[in-house]
Amino acid sequence: MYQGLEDAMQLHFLLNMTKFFIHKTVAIHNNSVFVDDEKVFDTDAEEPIGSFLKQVYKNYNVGYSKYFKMDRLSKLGFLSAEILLNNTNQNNIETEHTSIILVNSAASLDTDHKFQDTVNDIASPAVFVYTLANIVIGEICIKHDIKGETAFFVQEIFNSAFVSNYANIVLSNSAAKNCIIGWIEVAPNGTYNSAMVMIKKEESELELNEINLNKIFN
Amino acid sequence: MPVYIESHNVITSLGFSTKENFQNITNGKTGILQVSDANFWDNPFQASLVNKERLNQIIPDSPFTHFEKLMLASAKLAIESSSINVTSNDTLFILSTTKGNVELLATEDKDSEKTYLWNSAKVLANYFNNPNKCQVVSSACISGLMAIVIGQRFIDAGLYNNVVVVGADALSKFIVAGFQSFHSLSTEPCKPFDKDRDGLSLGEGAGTIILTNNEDIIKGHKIEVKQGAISNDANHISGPSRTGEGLLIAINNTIFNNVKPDFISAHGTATPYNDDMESKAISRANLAKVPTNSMKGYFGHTLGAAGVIESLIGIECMKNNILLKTLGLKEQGVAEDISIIKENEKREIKNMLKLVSGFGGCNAAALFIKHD
Repeated sequence: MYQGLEDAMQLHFLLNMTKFFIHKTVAIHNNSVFVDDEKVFDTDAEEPIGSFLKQVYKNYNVGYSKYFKMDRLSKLGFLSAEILLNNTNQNNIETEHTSIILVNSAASLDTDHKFQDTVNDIASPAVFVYTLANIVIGEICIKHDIKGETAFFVQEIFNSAFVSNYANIVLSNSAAKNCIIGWIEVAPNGTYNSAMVMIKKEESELELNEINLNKIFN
Repeated sequence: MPVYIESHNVITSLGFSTKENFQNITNGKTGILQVSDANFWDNPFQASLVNKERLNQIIPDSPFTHFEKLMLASAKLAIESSSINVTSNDTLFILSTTKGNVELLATEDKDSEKTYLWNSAKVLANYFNNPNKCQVVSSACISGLMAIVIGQRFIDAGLYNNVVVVGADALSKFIVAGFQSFHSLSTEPCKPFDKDRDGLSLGEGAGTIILTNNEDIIKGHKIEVKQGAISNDANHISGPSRTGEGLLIAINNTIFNNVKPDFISAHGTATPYNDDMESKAISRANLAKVPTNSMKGYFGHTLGAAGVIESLIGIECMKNNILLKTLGLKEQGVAEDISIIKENEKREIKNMLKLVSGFGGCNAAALFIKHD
Protein backbone atom coordinates (compact mmCIF):
# COMPACT_ATOMS: atom_id res chain seq x y z
CA MET A 1 0.00 0.00 0.00
CA TYR A 2 2.79 2.39 0.89
CA GLN A 3 4.64 1.48 -2.26
CA GLY A 4 1.61 2.41 -4.38
CA LEU A 5 1.25 5.72 -2.69
CA GLU A 6 4.94 6.48 -2.96
CA ASP A 7 4.83 5.66 -6.67
CA ALA A 8 1.87 7.96 -7.13
CA MET A 9 3.65 10.73 -5.29
CA GLN A 10 6.77 10.28 -7.34
CA LEU A 11 4.80 10.31 -10.56
CA HIS A 12 3.06 13.51 -9.54
CA PHE A 13 6.44 14.98 -8.70
CA LEU A 14 8.20 13.89 -11.87
CA LEU A 15 5.45 15.18 -14.13
CA ASN A 16 6.30 18.66 -12.93
CA MET A 17 9.98 18.35 -13.57
CA THR A 18 12.37 18.70 -16.45
CA LYS A 19 13.71 15.31 -17.44
CA PHE A 20 17.32 14.29 -16.96
CA PHE A 21 19.27 11.42 -18.46
CA ILE A 22 21.89 8.84 -17.54
CA HIS A 23 24.94 9.09 -19.79
CA LYS A 24 27.63 6.74 -18.67
CA THR A 25 28.01 3.99 -16.13
CA VAL A 26 31.17 2.84 -14.39
CA ALA A 27 31.10 -0.18 -12.10
CA ILE A 28 33.96 -1.72 -10.16
CA HIS A 29 33.51 -5.06 -8.44
CA ASN A 30 35.03 -8.55 -8.32
CA ASN A 31 38.37 -7.05 -9.34
CA SER A 32 36.89 -5.92 -12.65
CA VAL A 33 36.08 -2.53 -14.14
CA PHE A 34 32.99 -2.13 -16.31
CA VAL A 35 32.07 0.85 -18.47
CA ASP A 36 28.50 0.83 -19.73
CA ASP A 37 28.25 -2.85 -18.79
CA GLU A 38 31.33 -3.79 -20.80
CA LYS A 39 34.30 -5.21 -18.93
CA VAL A 40 37.31 -3.00 -19.67
CA PHE A 41 39.81 -4.19 -17.09
CA ASP A 42 40.30 -7.01 -14.64
CA THR A 43 42.87 -8.74 -12.48
CA ASP A 44 43.11 -12.03 -10.63
CA ALA A 45 39.94 -12.37 -8.58
CA GLU A 46 41.95 -13.43 -5.53
CA GLU A 47 43.87 -10.18 -5.34
CA PRO A 48 43.03 -8.00 -2.30
CA ILE A 49 41.38 -4.61 -2.85
CA GLY A 50 44.56 -2.59 -2.24
CA SER A 51 46.66 -4.14 -4.98
CA PHE A 52 43.70 -4.39 -7.34
CA LEU A 53 43.05 -0.64 -7.06
CA LYS A 54 46.75 0.05 -7.58
CA GLN A 55 46.58 -1.85 -10.87
CA VAL A 56 43.53 0.12 -11.93
CA TYR A 57 45.42 3.32 -11.09
CA LYS A 58 48.39 2.20 -13.19
CA ASN A 59 46.21 0.98 -16.05
CA TYR A 60 44.57 4.38 -16.40
CA ASN A 61 47.84 6.34 -16.04
CA VAL A 62 46.27 8.53 -13.39
CA GLY A 63 49.52 10.12 -12.13
CA TYR A 64 48.16 11.90 -9.07
CA SER A 65 50.41 11.84 -6.03
CA LYS A 66 47.62 12.62 -3.54
CA TYR A 67 46.10 9.26 -4.45
CA PHE A 68 48.62 7.40 -2.31
CA LYS A 69 47.59 9.04 0.95
CA MET A 70 43.89 8.30 0.46
CA ASP A 71 42.06 5.56 2.35
CA ARG A 72 40.49 2.65 0.50
CA LEU A 73 37.06 4.27 0.26
CA SER A 74 38.48 7.44 -1.27
CA LYS A 75 40.70 5.44 -3.66
CA LEU A 76 37.71 3.46 -4.92
CA GLY A 77 35.56 6.58 -5.33
CA PHE A 78 38.38 8.57 -6.86
CA LEU A 79 39.17 5.89 -9.47
CA SER A 80 35.48 5.43 -10.29
CA ALA A 81 35.25 9.18 -10.95
CA GLU A 82 38.48 9.18 -12.99
CA ILE A 83 37.06 6.55 -15.31
CA LEU A 84 33.65 8.22 -15.43
CA LEU A 85 35.01 11.69 -16.21
CA ASN A 86 38.17 11.16 -18.17
CA ASN A 87 38.31 8.06 -20.14
CA THR A 88 35.87 8.01 -23.02
CA ASN A 89 33.98 10.30 -25.33
CA GLN A 90 32.74 12.30 -22.38
CA ASN A 91 31.95 15.79 -23.58
CA ASN A 92 33.68 18.37 -21.50
CA ILE A 93 31.46 18.94 -18.53
CA GLU A 94 31.22 22.19 -16.66
CA THR A 95 32.78 20.99 -13.45
CA GLU A 96 31.89 24.16 -11.56
CA HIS A 97 28.25 23.29 -12.12
CA THR A 98 28.53 19.58 -11.47
CA SER A 99 26.95 17.98 -8.41
CA ILE A 100 27.90 14.78 -6.64
CA ILE A 101 25.58 12.52 -4.68
CA LEU A 102 27.29 9.51 -3.14
CA VAL A 103 25.74 6.74 -1.09
CA ASN A 104 27.00 3.71 0.77
CA SER A 105 26.21 1.41 3.66
CA ALA A 106 29.37 1.38 5.77
CA ALA A 107 30.08 5.13 5.68
CA SER A 108 33.78 5.37 6.67
CA LEU A 109 33.73 2.32 8.99
CA ASP A 110 36.71 0.74 7.20
CA THR A 111 38.94 3.64 8.26
CA ASP A 112 37.07 4.17 11.54
CA HIS A 113 38.32 0.75 12.69
CA LYS A 114 41.86 1.63 11.65
CA PHE A 115 41.71 4.92 13.53
CA GLN A 116 40.17 3.29 16.60
CA ASP A 117 43.18 0.97 16.77
CA THR A 118 45.45 4.02 17.20
CA VAL A 119 43.30 5.98 19.65
CA ASN A 120 45.05 4.66 22.76
CA ASP A 121 48.47 5.03 21.22
CA ILE A 122 49.44 7.82 18.83
CA ALA A 123 46.37 8.93 16.92
CA SER A 124 47.13 9.91 13.33
CA PRO A 125 45.56 13.05 11.85
CA ALA A 126 46.22 11.63 8.37
CA VAL A 127 43.96 8.69 9.22
CA PHE A 128 41.40 10.71 11.20
CA VAL A 129 40.50 12.95 8.28
CA TYR A 130 39.26 9.88 6.38
CA THR A 131 36.87 8.94 9.20
CA LEU A 132 34.24 11.08 7.49
CA ALA A 133 32.30 9.41 4.70
CA ASN A 134 32.11 12.57 2.59
CA ILE A 135 35.89 12.98 2.27
CA VAL A 136 35.78 10.84 -0.88
CA ILE A 137 33.58 13.55 -2.41
CA GLY A 138 36.14 16.18 -1.40
CA GLU A 139 38.91 14.20 -3.12
CA ILE A 140 36.90 13.96 -6.36
CA CYS A 141 36.01 17.68 -6.20
CA ILE A 142 39.66 18.68 -5.75
CA LYS A 143 40.84 16.59 -8.69
CA HIS A 144 38.14 17.81 -11.08
CA ASP A 145 37.50 21.32 -9.68
CA ILE A 146 33.89 20.41 -8.93
CA LYS A 147 32.15 23.13 -6.89
CA GLY A 148 28.49 22.17 -7.15
CA GLU A 149 26.17 20.67 -4.57
CA THR A 150 27.55 17.58 -2.91
CA ALA A 151 25.84 15.15 -0.55
CA PHE A 152 26.66 11.88 1.16
CA PHE A 153 23.85 9.55 2.26
CA VAL A 154 24.11 6.30 4.20
CA GLN A 155 21.63 3.59 3.21
CA GLU A 156 21.51 -0.14 3.99
CA ILE A 157 20.95 -0.81 0.30
CA PHE A 158 20.85 1.76 -2.49
CA ASN A 159 17.48 3.53 -2.29
CA SER A 160 16.75 4.27 -5.96
CA ALA A 161 13.53 6.18 -5.28
CA PHE A 162 15.17 8.54 -2.80
CA VAL A 163 18.30 9.13 -4.85
CA SER A 164 16.37 9.63 -8.08
CA ASN A 165 14.10 12.17 -6.39
CA TYR A 166 16.97 14.00 -4.76
CA ALA A 167 19.04 14.15 -7.96
CA ASN A 168 16.02 15.51 -9.80
CA ILE A 169 15.56 18.18 -7.14
CA VAL A 170 19.24 19.17 -7.17
CA LEU A 171 19.33 19.41 -10.96
CA SER A 172 16.07 21.38 -11.08
CA ASN A 173 16.65 23.77 -8.19
CA SER A 174 20.32 24.53 -8.03
CA ALA A 175 22.88 25.87 -10.43
CA ALA A 176 23.88 22.28 -11.23
CA LYS A 177 23.99 21.26 -14.86
CA ASN A 178 25.29 17.72 -14.37
CA CYS A 179 25.18 15.33 -11.50
CA ILE A 180 27.30 12.34 -10.60
CA ILE A 181 25.48 9.64 -8.66
CA GLY A 182 27.51 6.87 -7.06
CA TRP A 183 27.51 3.96 -4.67
CA ILE A 184 31.00 3.62 -3.17
CA GLU A 185 31.32 0.89 -0.58
CA VAL A 186 34.32 -0.53 1.25
CA ALA A 187 33.34 -2.74 4.18
CA PRO A 188 35.71 -3.13 7.15
CA ASN A 189 36.60 -6.63 5.92
CA GLY A 190 37.81 -5.20 2.59
CA THR A 191 34.90 -6.31 0.42
CA TYR A 192 34.03 -3.51 -1.94
CA ASN A 193 31.94 -2.43 -4.90
CA SER A 194 31.19 0.77 -6.71
CA ALA A 195 28.88 2.06 -9.39
CA MET A 196 28.81 5.59 -10.74
CA VAL A 197 26.75 7.34 -13.37
CA MET A 198 26.76 10.75 -15.04
CA ILE A 199 23.42 12.55 -15.28
CA LYS A 200 22.88 15.31 -17.83
CA LYS A 201 20.06 17.32 -19.34
CA GLU A 202 21.09 16.15 -22.78
CA GLU A 203 18.92 13.23 -23.88
CA SER A 204 20.04 9.63 -23.86
CA GLU A 205 18.25 6.28 -23.99
CA LEU A 206 18.13 6.12 -20.20
CA GLU A 207 16.01 8.58 -18.32
CA LEU A 208 16.93 9.40 -14.72
CA ASN A 209 14.26 7.63 -12.70
CA GLU A 210 13.87 5.07 -9.96
CA ILE A 211 13.52 2.11 -12.30
CA ASN A 212 16.64 2.87 -14.31
CA LEU A 213 18.73 3.63 -11.22
CA ASN A 214 17.52 0.40 -9.69
CA LYS A 215 18.77 -1.55 -12.71
CA ILE A 216 22.22 -0.03 -12.36
CA PHE A 217 22.62 0.07 -8.59
CA ASN A 218 20.75 -2.98 -7.28
CA MET B 1 5.18 25.48 -1.46
CA PRO B 2 6.26 27.26 1.75
CA VAL B 3 7.81 25.05 4.41
CA TYR B 4 7.41 25.96 8.07
CA ILE B 5 8.91 24.87 11.37
CA GLU B 6 6.16 23.25 13.41
CA SER B 7 7.99 21.91 16.46
CA HIS B 8 11.55 21.66 17.72
CA ASN B 9 13.90 20.65 20.49
CA VAL B 10 17.51 21.26 21.49
CA ILE B 11 19.53 19.12 23.90
CA THR B 12 22.99 20.33 24.94
CA SER B 13 24.87 20.86 28.18
CA LEU B 14 22.68 23.95 28.60
CA GLY B 15 19.36 22.17 28.73
CA PHE B 16 16.78 19.82 27.30
CA SER B 17 14.53 22.18 25.38
CA THR B 18 15.09 24.96 22.88
CA LYS B 19 13.69 27.39 25.45
CA GLU B 20 15.96 26.26 28.29
CA ASN B 21 19.01 26.48 26.02
CA PHE B 22 17.95 29.88 24.72
CA GLN B 23 17.44 31.27 28.23
CA ASN B 24 20.83 30.07 29.42
CA ILE B 25 22.48 31.46 26.30
CA THR B 26 20.69 34.80 26.70
CA ASN B 27 22.06 34.91 30.25
CA GLY B 28 25.57 34.39 28.92
CA LYS B 29 26.08 30.92 30.39
CA THR B 30 28.47 28.44 28.84
CA GLY B 31 28.22 24.67 29.10
CA ILE B 32 31.87 24.21 28.17
CA LEU B 33 33.79 22.87 31.16
CA GLN B 34 37.09 21.23 31.89
CA VAL B 35 36.50 17.49 31.53
CA SER B 36 38.77 15.11 33.44
CA ASP B 37 37.59 11.68 32.35
CA ALA B 38 39.94 9.07 30.95
CA ASN B 39 37.02 7.56 29.04
CA PHE B 40 37.39 10.57 26.75
CA TRP B 41 41.00 11.59 27.08
CA ASP B 42 43.91 10.96 29.46
CA ASN B 43 44.45 14.65 30.16
CA PRO B 44 41.84 17.27 31.06
CA PHE B 45 40.30 19.08 28.09
CA GLN B 46 37.46 21.54 27.43
CA ALA B 47 34.11 20.16 26.27
CA SER B 48 30.37 20.51 26.57
CA LEU B 49 28.60 17.34 27.76
CA VAL B 50 24.94 16.45 28.10
CA ASN B 51 23.65 15.54 31.59
CA LYS B 52 23.23 11.76 31.48
CA GLU B 53 20.83 11.55 34.43
CA ARG B 54 18.36 13.90 32.80
CA LEU B 55 18.79 12.09 29.50
CA ASN B 56 18.00 8.75 31.15
CA GLN B 57 14.82 10.21 32.59
CA ILE B 58 13.57 10.91 29.07
CA ILE B 59 14.61 7.55 27.59
CA PRO B 60 14.63 5.32 30.71
CA ASP B 61 15.56 1.64 31.22
CA SER B 62 16.47 1.26 27.61
CA PRO B 63 18.84 -0.87 25.56
CA PHE B 64 19.94 2.23 23.68
CA THR B 65 23.45 3.66 23.47
CA HIS B 66 24.24 7.20 24.65
CA PHE B 67 24.15 8.46 21.07
CA GLU B 68 20.81 6.77 20.40
CA LYS B 69 19.37 8.25 23.60
CA LEU B 70 20.42 11.75 22.47
CA MET B 71 18.79 11.24 19.09
CA LEU B 72 15.61 9.65 20.49
CA ALA B 73 15.20 12.06 23.40
CA SER B 74 15.40 15.13 21.18
CA ALA B 75 12.97 13.67 18.64
CA LYS B 76 10.62 12.52 21.41
CA LEU B 77 10.45 15.94 23.06
CA ALA B 78 9.86 17.68 19.73
CA ILE B 79 7.21 15.18 18.69
CA GLU B 80 5.39 15.46 22.05
CA SER B 81 4.68 19.10 21.38
CA SER B 82 3.87 18.58 17.69
CA SER B 83 0.50 17.94 16.09
CA ILE B 84 1.78 16.10 13.01
CA ASN B 85 1.27 12.36 12.68
CA VAL B 86 4.73 10.79 12.71
CA THR B 87 3.32 7.30 12.00
CA SER B 88 1.97 8.47 8.66
CA ASN B 89 3.70 7.74 5.37
CA ASP B 90 3.57 11.42 4.42
CA THR B 91 6.14 12.06 7.18
CA LEU B 92 9.82 11.40 6.49
CA PHE B 93 12.58 11.21 9.12
CA ILE B 94 16.08 12.44 8.27
CA LEU B 95 18.96 11.74 10.64
CA SER B 96 22.05 13.94 10.54
CA THR B 97 25.14 12.56 12.22
CA THR B 98 28.84 12.35 11.53
CA LYS B 99 29.88 9.50 13.82
CA GLY B 100 26.72 7.88 15.25
CA ASN B 101 27.63 4.94 17.50
CA VAL B 102 31.37 5.16 16.84
CA GLU B 103 32.03 4.70 20.58
CA LEU B 104 31.08 1.03 20.06
CA LEU B 105 34.29 0.47 18.07
CA ALA B 106 36.11 0.40 21.42
CA THR B 107 33.80 -2.33 22.77
CA GLU B 108 32.98 -5.97 22.05
CA ASP B 109 30.14 -4.65 19.85
CA LYS B 110 32.67 -3.26 17.39
CA ASP B 111 31.51 -5.49 14.55
CA SER B 112 27.80 -5.21 15.31
CA GLU B 113 25.21 -3.72 12.97
CA LYS B 114 24.80 -0.93 15.50
CA THR B 115 27.99 0.66 14.19
CA TYR B 116 26.27 1.34 10.84
CA LEU B 117 24.59 4.72 10.56
CA TRP B 118 21.61 3.29 8.67
CA ASN B 119 20.97 1.10 11.69
CA SER B 120 20.71 4.19 13.89
CA ALA B 121 18.23 5.57 11.36
CA LYS B 122 16.19 2.37 11.67
CA VAL B 123 16.22 2.70 15.45
CA LEU B 124 14.88 6.24 15.08
CA ALA B 125 12.08 5.45 12.62
CA ASN B 126 11.07 2.28 14.49
CA TYR B 127 10.91 4.07 17.84
CA PHE B 128 8.26 6.40 16.45
CA ASN B 129 6.58 3.79 14.21
CA ASN B 130 7.29 5.72 11.05
CA PRO B 131 6.81 3.55 7.94
CA ASN B 132 9.33 5.29 5.65
CA LYS B 133 13.03 4.58 5.36
CA CYS B 134 14.74 7.16 7.56
CA GLN B 135 17.49 8.86 5.54
CA VAL B 136 20.98 9.52 6.92
CA VAL B 137 22.92 12.60 5.86
CA SER B 138 26.60 12.30 6.72
CA SER B 139 28.46 15.22 5.17
CA ALA B 140 30.74 16.21 8.07
CA CYS B 141 29.85 19.39 9.93
CA ILE B 142 27.35 20.65 7.35
CA SER B 143 25.13 17.57 7.84
CA GLY B 144 22.60 19.24 10.17
CA LEU B 145 21.88 22.28 8.00
CA MET B 146 21.93 20.10 4.92
CA ALA B 147 19.30 17.81 6.44
CA ILE B 148 17.05 20.85 6.99
CA VAL B 149 17.60 21.99 3.40
CA ILE B 150 16.86 18.48 2.08
CA GLY B 151 13.71 18.32 4.20
CA GLN B 152 12.58 21.67 2.85
CA ARG B 153 13.21 20.52 -0.72
CA PHE B 154 11.35 17.24 -0.33
CA ILE B 155 8.28 19.00 1.05
CA ASP B 156 8.54 21.74 -1.57
CA ALA B 157 8.65 19.09 -4.30
CA GLY B 158 5.43 17.57 -2.97
CA LEU B 159 7.01 14.26 -1.93
CA TYR B 160 6.13 14.51 1.77
CA ASN B 161 3.96 16.81 3.87
CA ASN B 162 6.18 16.65 6.96
CA VAL B 163 9.85 15.99 7.62
CA VAL B 164 11.35 15.32 11.05
CA VAL B 165 15.02 16.35 10.97
CA VAL B 166 17.07 14.97 13.86
CA GLY B 167 20.74 15.92 14.25
CA ALA B 168 22.83 14.17 16.88
CA ASP B 169 26.43 13.39 17.77
CA ALA B 170 27.86 12.08 21.03
CA LEU B 171 31.33 12.77 22.35
CA SER B 172 33.69 9.79 22.47
CA LYS B 173 37.38 9.11 22.84
CA PHE B 174 37.47 8.48 19.08
CA ILE B 175 36.38 12.06 18.35
CA VAL B 176 38.52 13.68 21.06
CA ALA B 177 41.60 11.76 19.92
CA GLY B 178 40.96 12.81 16.33
CA PHE B 179 40.69 16.51 17.05
CA GLN B 180 43.62 16.29 19.47
CA SER B 181 45.71 14.72 16.70
CA PHE B 182 44.88 17.73 14.55
CA HIS B 183 45.90 20.07 17.40
CA SER B 184 42.61 21.82 16.80
CA LEU B 185 41.24 21.85 20.37
CA SER B 186 41.49 25.06 22.39
CA THR B 187 42.98 24.80 25.87
CA GLU B 188 40.25 27.19 27.10
CA PRO B 189 36.57 27.50 26.12
CA CYS B 190 36.73 28.43 22.43
CA LYS B 191 36.96 32.06 21.32
CA PRO B 192 35.19 32.45 17.96
CA PHE B 193 36.40 35.32 15.73
CA ASP B 194 38.83 36.47 18.47
CA LYS B 195 42.34 37.56 17.57
CA ASP B 196 43.68 34.99 20.06
CA ARG B 197 41.41 32.10 19.04
CA ASP B 198 43.35 28.86 19.12
CA GLY B 199 40.91 26.11 18.27
CA LEU B 200 37.51 24.66 18.88
CA SER B 201 35.73 23.17 21.88
CA LEU B 202 33.92 19.90 21.28
CA GLY B 203 30.31 19.47 22.31
CA GLU B 204 27.69 16.78 22.17
CA GLY B 205 24.04 17.31 21.62
CA ALA B 206 20.94 16.75 19.57
CA GLY B 207 18.44 18.95 17.83
CA THR B 208 15.13 18.25 16.14
CA ILE B 209 13.21 20.38 13.66
CA ILE B 210 9.79 19.27 12.45
CA LEU B 211 9.00 20.78 9.05
CA THR B 212 5.54 20.94 7.52
CA ASN B 213 3.64 22.49 4.63
CA ASN B 214 0.52 22.78 6.81
CA GLU B 215 0.44 26.46 7.73
CA ASP B 216 -2.71 25.99 9.84
CA ILE B 217 -1.04 23.93 12.55
CA ILE B 218 1.75 26.43 13.30
CA LYS B 219 1.51 27.94 16.76
CA GLY B 220 2.95 31.42 17.34
CA HIS B 221 5.40 33.00 14.89
CA LYS B 222 5.54 31.35 11.50
CA ILE B 223 9.16 30.58 10.67
CA GLU B 224 9.68 29.56 7.07
CA VAL B 225 12.69 27.61 5.83
CA LYS B 226 12.95 29.61 2.62
CA GLN B 227 15.78 27.86 0.83
CA GLY B 228 19.33 26.68 1.09
CA ALA B 229 22.35 25.79 -1.00
CA ILE B 230 25.38 23.55 -0.75
CA SER B 231 28.77 23.93 -2.42
CA ASN B 232 32.25 22.50 -2.42
CA ASP B 233 35.58 24.35 -2.17
CA ALA B 234 37.44 21.82 -4.33
CA ASN B 235 40.50 22.95 -2.44
CA HIS B 236 41.57 20.81 0.52
CA ILE B 237 40.06 17.87 2.43
CA SER B 238 40.81 19.10 5.94
CA GLY B 239 41.30 22.85 5.56
CA PRO B 240 38.84 25.51 4.43
CA SER B 241 39.33 27.50 1.27
CA ARG B 242 41.72 30.43 1.76
CA THR B 243 39.45 32.70 -0.24
CA GLY B 244 35.99 31.73 1.02
CA GLU B 245 35.00 30.96 -2.58
CA GLY B 246 32.98 27.81 -1.78
CA LEU B 247 30.99 29.37 1.03
CA LEU B 248 30.42 32.46 -1.12
CA ILE B 249 28.84 30.24 -3.81
CA ALA B 250 26.51 28.73 -1.18
CA ILE B 251 25.57 32.19 0.13
CA ASN B 252 24.94 33.58 -3.35
CA ASN B 253 22.79 30.60 -4.27
CA THR B 254 20.76 31.05 -1.07
CA ILE B 255 20.09 34.79 -0.98
CA PHE B 256 19.37 36.60 -4.18
CA ASN B 257 17.18 39.48 -5.38
CA ASN B 258 19.34 41.64 -3.12
CA VAL B 259 17.76 40.23 0.03
CA LYS B 260 19.91 41.32 2.97
CA PRO B 261 19.62 39.07 6.00
CA ASP B 262 19.03 40.85 9.32
CA PHE B 263 21.38 38.48 11.06
CA ILE B 264 23.94 35.78 10.25
CA SER B 265 24.43 32.73 12.45
CA ALA B 266 27.94 31.75 11.41
CA HIS B 267 29.77 28.45 11.79
CA GLY B 268 32.49 30.23 13.84
CA THR B 269 34.37 27.18 15.11
CA ALA B 270 37.17 29.36 16.56
CA THR B 271 39.87 27.64 14.56
CA PRO B 272 42.16 30.23 12.96
CA TYR B 273 41.41 29.14 9.38
CA ASN B 274 37.65 28.63 9.58
CA ASP B 275 36.85 32.02 11.06
CA ASP B 276 39.13 33.84 8.62
CA MET B 277 37.54 32.00 5.70
CA GLU B 278 34.03 32.82 6.88
CA SER B 279 34.90 36.50 7.30
CA LYS B 280 36.14 36.54 3.70
CA ALA B 281 33.02 34.86 2.32
CA ILE B 282 30.69 37.14 4.31
CA SER B 283 32.63 40.21 3.22
CA ARG B 284 32.73 39.14 -0.44
CA ALA B 285 28.94 38.62 -0.31
CA ASN B 286 28.60 42.29 0.77
CA LEU B 287 27.30 41.21 4.16
CA ALA B 288 30.10 42.67 6.29
CA LYS B 289 27.66 45.06 8.00
CA VAL B 290 25.16 42.33 8.92
CA PRO B 291 25.31 41.40 12.64
CA THR B 292 26.95 37.97 12.88
CA ASN B 293 27.54 35.59 15.76
CA SER B 294 28.83 32.13 16.58
CA MET B 295 27.16 29.85 19.13
CA LYS B 296 30.22 27.64 19.66
CA GLY B 297 31.26 29.43 22.89
CA TYR B 298 28.01 28.32 24.58
CA PHE B 299 27.90 24.59 23.84
CA GLY B 300 30.92 23.85 21.67
CA HIS B 301 30.98 22.28 18.23
CA THR B 302 28.23 19.68 18.20
CA LEU B 303 29.33 18.28 14.79
CA GLY B 304 26.40 16.63 12.96
CA ALA B 305 23.91 18.30 15.31
CA ALA B 306 25.42 21.78 14.98
CA GLY B 307 23.40 22.95 11.98
CA VAL B 308 20.12 21.94 13.59
CA ILE B 309 20.87 23.24 17.10
CA GLU B 310 22.33 26.55 15.95
CA SER B 311 19.51 27.18 13.47
CA LEU B 312 17.03 26.69 16.30
CA ILE B 313 18.80 29.09 18.65
CA GLY B 314 18.92 31.61 15.80
CA ILE B 315 15.18 31.12 15.24
CA GLU B 316 14.55 31.88 18.92
CA CYS B 317 16.54 35.09 18.37
CA MET B 318 14.19 35.94 15.48
CA LYS B 319 11.11 35.23 17.58
CA ASN B 320 12.43 37.28 20.52
CA ASN B 321 14.04 40.00 18.39
CA ILE B 322 17.39 39.74 20.07
CA LEU B 323 20.94 39.55 18.75
CA LEU B 324 23.09 37.35 20.98
CA LYS B 325 26.73 38.01 21.63
CA THR B 326 29.53 35.68 20.54
CA LEU B 327 30.61 34.21 23.86
CA GLY B 328 34.38 33.89 24.22
CA LEU B 329 35.13 36.84 21.94
CA LYS B 330 37.18 39.60 23.58
CA GLU B 331 38.88 41.33 20.70
CA GLN B 332 37.87 40.63 17.14
CA GLY B 333 40.66 39.51 14.85
CA VAL B 334 39.71 37.93 11.55
CA ALA B 335 40.86 38.56 8.00
CA GLU B 336 37.93 40.78 7.03
CA ASP B 337 36.21 43.37 9.21
CA ILE B 338 32.77 41.82 9.60
CA SER B 339 30.17 42.76 12.24
CA ILE B 340 30.56 40.23 15.03
CA ILE B 341 27.99 40.73 17.79
CA LYS B 342 29.77 41.53 21.06
CA GLU B 343 26.83 42.34 23.36
CA ASN B 344 23.23 41.14 23.44
CA GLU B 345 21.01 43.69 21.74
CA LYS B 346 17.26 43.94 21.15
CA ARG B 347 16.54 44.43 17.48
CA GLU B 348 13.81 43.50 15.01
CA ILE B 349 14.94 40.37 13.15
CA LYS B 350 12.84 39.19 10.22
CA ASN B 351 15.25 36.77 8.62
CA MET B 352 18.42 34.86 9.33
CA LEU B 353 21.17 33.41 7.19
CA LYS B 354 22.71 30.26 8.70
CA LEU B 355 26.17 29.17 7.54
CA VAL B 356 28.18 25.98 8.08
CA SER B 357 31.36 24.52 6.60
CA GLY B 358 33.08 21.20 7.05
CA PHE B 359 35.87 18.78 6.24
CA GLY B 360 35.82 17.58 2.68
CA GLY B 361 35.50 21.22 1.55
CA CYS B 362 31.72 21.32 1.96
CA ASN B 363 29.70 24.45 2.75
CA ALA B 364 26.00 25.08 3.26
CA ALA B 365 23.81 28.12 3.72
CA ALA B 366 20.10 28.47 4.46
CA LEU B 367 17.70 31.38 4.79
CA PHE B 368 14.96 31.43 7.45
CA ILE B 369 12.16 34.01 7.32
CA LYS B 370 9.78 35.12 10.09
CA HIS B 371 6.17 35.82 9.09
CA ASP B 372 3.78 37.64 11.40
